[in-house]
Amino acid sequence: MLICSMLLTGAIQIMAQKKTESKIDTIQLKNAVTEESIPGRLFDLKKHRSTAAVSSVSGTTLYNTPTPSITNTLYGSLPGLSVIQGSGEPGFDVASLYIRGVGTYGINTYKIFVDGFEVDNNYFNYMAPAEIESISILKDAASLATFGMQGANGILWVVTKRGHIGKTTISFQTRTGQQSPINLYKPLNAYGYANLYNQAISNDNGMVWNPKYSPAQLQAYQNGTGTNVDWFNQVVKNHGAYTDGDLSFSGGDENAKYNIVLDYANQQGLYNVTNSPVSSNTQTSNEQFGRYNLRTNLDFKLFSIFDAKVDIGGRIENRKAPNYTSNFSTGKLWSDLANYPSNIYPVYDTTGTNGANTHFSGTTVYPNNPVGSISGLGWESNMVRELLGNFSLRERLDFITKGLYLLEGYSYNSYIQSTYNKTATYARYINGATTTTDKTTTVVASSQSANAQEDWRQGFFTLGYNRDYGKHSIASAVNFQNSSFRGEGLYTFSVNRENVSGKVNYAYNNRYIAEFGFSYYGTDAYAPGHNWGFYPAISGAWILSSESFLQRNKVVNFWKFRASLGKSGNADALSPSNYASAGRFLYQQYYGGTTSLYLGTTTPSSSAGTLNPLFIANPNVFAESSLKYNIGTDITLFKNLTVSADVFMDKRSGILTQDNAIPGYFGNNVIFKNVGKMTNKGFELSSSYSGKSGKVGYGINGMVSYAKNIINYEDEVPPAYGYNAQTGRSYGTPIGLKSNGFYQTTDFNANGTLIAGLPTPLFGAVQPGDIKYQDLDKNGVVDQNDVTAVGKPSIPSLNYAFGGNLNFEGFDLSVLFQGAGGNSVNLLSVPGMQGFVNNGNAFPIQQGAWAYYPSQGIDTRATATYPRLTTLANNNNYRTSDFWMRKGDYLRIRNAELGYSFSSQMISRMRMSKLRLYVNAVNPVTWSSLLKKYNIDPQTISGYPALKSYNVGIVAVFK
Amino acid sequence: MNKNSKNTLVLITGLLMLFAGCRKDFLNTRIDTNYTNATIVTDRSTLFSFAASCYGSLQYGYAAIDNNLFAGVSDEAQITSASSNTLVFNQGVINPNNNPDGGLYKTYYDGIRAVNFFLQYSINGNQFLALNRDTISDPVGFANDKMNLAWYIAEAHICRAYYYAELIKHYGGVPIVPETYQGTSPDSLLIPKSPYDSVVAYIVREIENNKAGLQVNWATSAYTGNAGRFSLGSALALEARVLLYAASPLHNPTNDVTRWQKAAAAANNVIATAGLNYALYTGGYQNYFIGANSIGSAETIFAIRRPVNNTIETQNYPIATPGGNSGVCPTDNLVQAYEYIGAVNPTNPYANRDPRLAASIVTNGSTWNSRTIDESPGGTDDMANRNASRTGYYLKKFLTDNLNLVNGGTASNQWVAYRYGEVLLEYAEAMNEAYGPDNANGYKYTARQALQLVRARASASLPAITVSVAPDIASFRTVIKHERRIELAFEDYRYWDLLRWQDAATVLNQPVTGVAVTKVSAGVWSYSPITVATRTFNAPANYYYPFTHADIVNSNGTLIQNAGY
Repeated sequence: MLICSMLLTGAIQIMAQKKTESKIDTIQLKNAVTEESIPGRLFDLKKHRSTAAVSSVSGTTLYNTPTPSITNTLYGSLPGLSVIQGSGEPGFDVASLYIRGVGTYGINTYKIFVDGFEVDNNYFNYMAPAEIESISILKDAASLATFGMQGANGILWVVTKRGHIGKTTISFQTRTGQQSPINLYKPLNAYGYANLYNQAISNDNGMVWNPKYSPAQLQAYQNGTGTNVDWFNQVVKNHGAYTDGDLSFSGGDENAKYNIVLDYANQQGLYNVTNSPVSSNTQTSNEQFGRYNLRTNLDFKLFSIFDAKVDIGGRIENRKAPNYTSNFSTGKLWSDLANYPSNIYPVYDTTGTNGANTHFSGTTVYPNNPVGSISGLGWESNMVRELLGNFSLRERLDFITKGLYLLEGYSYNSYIQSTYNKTATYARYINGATTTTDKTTTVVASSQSANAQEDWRQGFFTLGYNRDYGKHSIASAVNFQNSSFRGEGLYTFSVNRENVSGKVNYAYNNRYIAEFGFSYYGTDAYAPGHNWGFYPAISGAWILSSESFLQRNKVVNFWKFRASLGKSGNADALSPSNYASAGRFLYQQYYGGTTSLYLGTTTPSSSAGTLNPLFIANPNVFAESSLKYNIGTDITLFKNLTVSADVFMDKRSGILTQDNAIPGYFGNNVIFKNVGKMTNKGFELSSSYSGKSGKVGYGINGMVSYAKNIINYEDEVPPAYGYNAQTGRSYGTPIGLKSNGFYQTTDFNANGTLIAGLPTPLFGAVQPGDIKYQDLDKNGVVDQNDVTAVGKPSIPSLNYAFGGNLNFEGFDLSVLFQGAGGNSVNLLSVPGMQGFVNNGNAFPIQQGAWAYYPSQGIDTRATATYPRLTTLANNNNYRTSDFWMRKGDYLRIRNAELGYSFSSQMISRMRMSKLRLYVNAVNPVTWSSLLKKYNIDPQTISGYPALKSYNVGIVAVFK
Repeated sequence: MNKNSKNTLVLITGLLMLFAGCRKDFLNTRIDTNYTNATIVTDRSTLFSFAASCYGSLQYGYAAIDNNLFAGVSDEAQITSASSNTLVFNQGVINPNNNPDGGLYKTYYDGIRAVNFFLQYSINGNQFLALNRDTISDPVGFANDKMNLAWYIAEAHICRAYYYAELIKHYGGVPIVPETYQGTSPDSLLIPKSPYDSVVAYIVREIENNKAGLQVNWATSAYTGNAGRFSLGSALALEARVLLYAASPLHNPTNDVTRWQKAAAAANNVIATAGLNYALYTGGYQNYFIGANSIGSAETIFAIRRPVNNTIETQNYPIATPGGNSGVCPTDNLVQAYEYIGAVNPTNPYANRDPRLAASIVTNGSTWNSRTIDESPGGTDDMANRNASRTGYYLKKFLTDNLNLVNGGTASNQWVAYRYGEVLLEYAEAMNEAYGPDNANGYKYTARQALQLVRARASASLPAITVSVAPDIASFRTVIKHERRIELAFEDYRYWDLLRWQDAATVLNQPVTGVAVTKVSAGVWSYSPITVATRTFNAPANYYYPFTHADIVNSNGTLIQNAGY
């Protein structure tokens, strides 16, 4: 292949040298008008020529949110993109993204392309906003046609910053701030816990009052003499520092342009423990994350025929966290914080240590003292190295015919992750005696390993033709690309793809546009001979504002209608549990050893190995296909108001599903077939208005997007009744029982059995205060056949954002609100919701529990909002039902910023063209019914809390 | 222009070479780390692995339902936990959408599929065994492998017969699947169910055609290490049981006596066939079931084996024993059935009883888990404690005493699927129905003699069932039913016996009872009967399991649901 390219380039060089023309083009194909350009895979188009539904946001806008992960800057900026917040844990705070909601119940992830080459989440998630020019989402068939089997779930298209023609500008930005949790879902103190515990233990005693904590003990908790440890206060600080900064050099001339970005970010976690230096003996560490990014984008001309681009982007990520706490390991610290009651033991056991805090408390039931977990177990650190190198060459073949060009490119992406672990343990004491077999040890270097290595090479070859003949204008290209990924894992050791794609865009008189795109995509996941798919798309646009009746209209400056229809594919899929290959290689029959046969004589000591099929092979397994329909319009009114609207429908078919329609005498074997169907519909609406009134400049923008899906066919196990089914409902709809209040004492006979006429629940014995369920099939028992839809999926169907900015005399103010709705939160997934079960803890929500002890003056029968408390496992109350579903709607101020830019006279003496100081708040205010009523964050329900921060920053541009 | 067109040509060829330079097998990245259809035929040990997988669906009886014995489903026992799966059976609410034991259908058909596949795969087995070996210089190894393969093939037929026998016991008529289906289209696979009698005939045919290829008795052969595989003895025992069930009232409404005769002949084959040499365990009834005694004994015909574990002890030790969970609690219905062998003791109703009571059941006042069980209020095993037995009794049969569960103590717990004692009782039942209690019909024992063998092993002081006590078929039948209830308690026979005798409609609709214990003085308690739970059994529907709703729907009308569902 190398020889071929050299032959080729040699040939072109010879031909070009013959030419006398030395007209200098710009590298991009653009009109003279500096109009917004819509990115596309093979070529970009000016906005008026594009028939695609694409939303973009610039890197400068994303820079407004100071946070290490770029996914957390995307809130409210792209209509059609839902961003679901993850945790706030440094290094693990990546948000989940969905483009146009959920389209499939299989694998729903989008693909990411940086500068025309595919990258994975590992590379994208921690890019710096300073190195990004724009991020766009490609949503409809017109933009996704050329992506073949990668396009069905939408594409995130990232373009990095390139140099400009002009004097070198040096820009320096930095900011620093404090981050704190948006909220902490804290349990009750020792008094509240003990009070409710007495109720629980009495409920388990047949509703006979039998308290564990005497009034004297309760009194001690109240007046502070009893053990009352606020574990959250002990472990979690209110502030963690965040700093980031970047330095970029950009400039160039017609022959060479460059853009160099150096970026740094450091985030400290919230744990109340110091970062001891490596050489010290104590060796504790706060959770922290640091990243260093470097990007160099060069454009230069070679031999006056080639336009070359060399882009190198590299990154180092360093993560460190106390052992046991973070997403590296088990992440159990936060569930301990929620579940360890406040009265179990003091943090340190001071018996026999003369008041020194050297012995951690701990018992066999509660062995993991939260303070000990962050300071006594050592730490783990993890280093990631990313390197992305893209090279491309473009040759103008105008000597053959004007407008013809050739483009070749190659990308190399390497990823390495290694970990280093220093572990220690500590002995647990109660009253001077150890309670478990752990001993206190110092930190030892315990393991070091290379965790993951990935190597991704891609190359492409494009032949393009752009030409204007009077009123006709054509932009077209044909492309061949292949990609070879080598990674970890049995099934993803080698992933190879090939894609032959092309696009033709024809515009007539700047008024009527038609476009056809296609991709012929081959993948290694399916049987040879069955692994290529053809994905065409057609689209068109009509620019109304160029028509004679609107051409001179004062109000309507630009009005375009567009529509597209096409097919796209998705090659990732679910797979059998014993062969978790993401849908790859299911055409091949495999046999594996599953059970053992014991043959021994006196004691079975030998087992004969067995072989059984792992699954039944399906030679016709193929990618799911997505038929996308989209109609949209873009309008500019009054020169300042732009409105954009899209309505879409995505019909998925061929979703790889386990076939549950095979008869039982197939045994326990599973077979996966492409039979699933799903429909996803929705709309997006966005608008922005900017203007100036005297010295005040202002802008307002807003967007709304909505997407709802229905599973049309899932081949689920035939349910007993139609209302049990998941088919016909949205993906992720919780299926559970319908509740009907609580059992009252009048519902029971004297001997504890239910009175006649009440259905018997088959989940366990019930008593007054338990949740009563409806018997939907009226057969007298409440069991798994009485389940139905009880809430909405956990991913919001409605996303909206609005914001504005103001500037006056150097001051600028901007604010962005973002909200979501249409989802349900299942309270049972909140830690501690089950109360005392399994030695858990009590929370304010349990203060509304049903209880009836007239002798103690306790009677909540009429006002109860929570079932009766218990210390035993209870299958009846703690199961999915509409009792535990709450609305997850929220509205947040995502960022708010106030800044001042010094006037150019003041700073030009310092050779600066811009100096701006600002203060900035991220997530300062949240409105949500979950937060207000229960103090539960609507998006980050458990684990490390999401963060809000207040920052101050400076921007300086030197010329 | 000429030069340019030449250069254009160079350009185009360069382009073409570029495309051609790409590898043809670029999209072939599969790495086979598991066996594929191509690789299994290169390794002759796969033959034996597929053979072994025919046994994969044998069920461990100690984990039949709720990870415990199946006994809680019948009137033998009441499961302590309030939310167990036996509740579905006890309340008679079993239906196509709610059958906790419904997974057995797919599991047994999985075994049948494994047998069908193996039989197909081993058609050229002997040539396959000659692969990659020098059969001239290593004749012994080759001959051994061929012999082993021949046994496995015969055993595979028996496995399949066993699975069908289990399926018809649970479901009545079931589809007979003749071969392994590999296809992706299920429409060609819609097999209707065959009637019960056809499947019985199929099972008997399979056994009769293949019993010649089986090892006669592994324990006495040179290959004792294969004792966990089917042998002639276990095949004949399977045949005897299938024919007995086919002769029982549920499947034999006209009481065709020839069926009973066939059953008696089959049972006699187990007793009398040369080389089998089964004999009752002589070390005591209780000890037979504990530890490794069963698999070392000549009474065991076939046992389903597992490594040492403490599942049955963890599930069934009293809650007061650390690690115990009280699971299966025998009912007073069963305790009352144990006969007296001496005078009634007014202070201790459990004294002077059939010794199998003390061997099978932990009663109040007895010694168990290193303590005297005291279930009175305030005692060590106070019945008012959460999760204490609600009937006043705990399980003793099968359990090794004094296992330290907290420290993970284990014992050998092998599930005996066929034993000689039960074969004798089958023989007695069939002979009685076929020929009467005292007619040996030329076989080794009469019904009465066979029964006496079992009773004598249980205790020398158990009185014999003389002619005066049970002179005719009907009265002897009652005696047999009683003996099965006692001898085979908790061994997963009671429920199926009640069903096949069609006695379940009365017996399983009666409430289960227990005793409430009150302390009178040290070592002396008084007992009052209590009702523990009501039971419901919907005859005639509940005589068979329903096919799952999913299966009926998926069969597109080919599979007819059992009556009553």
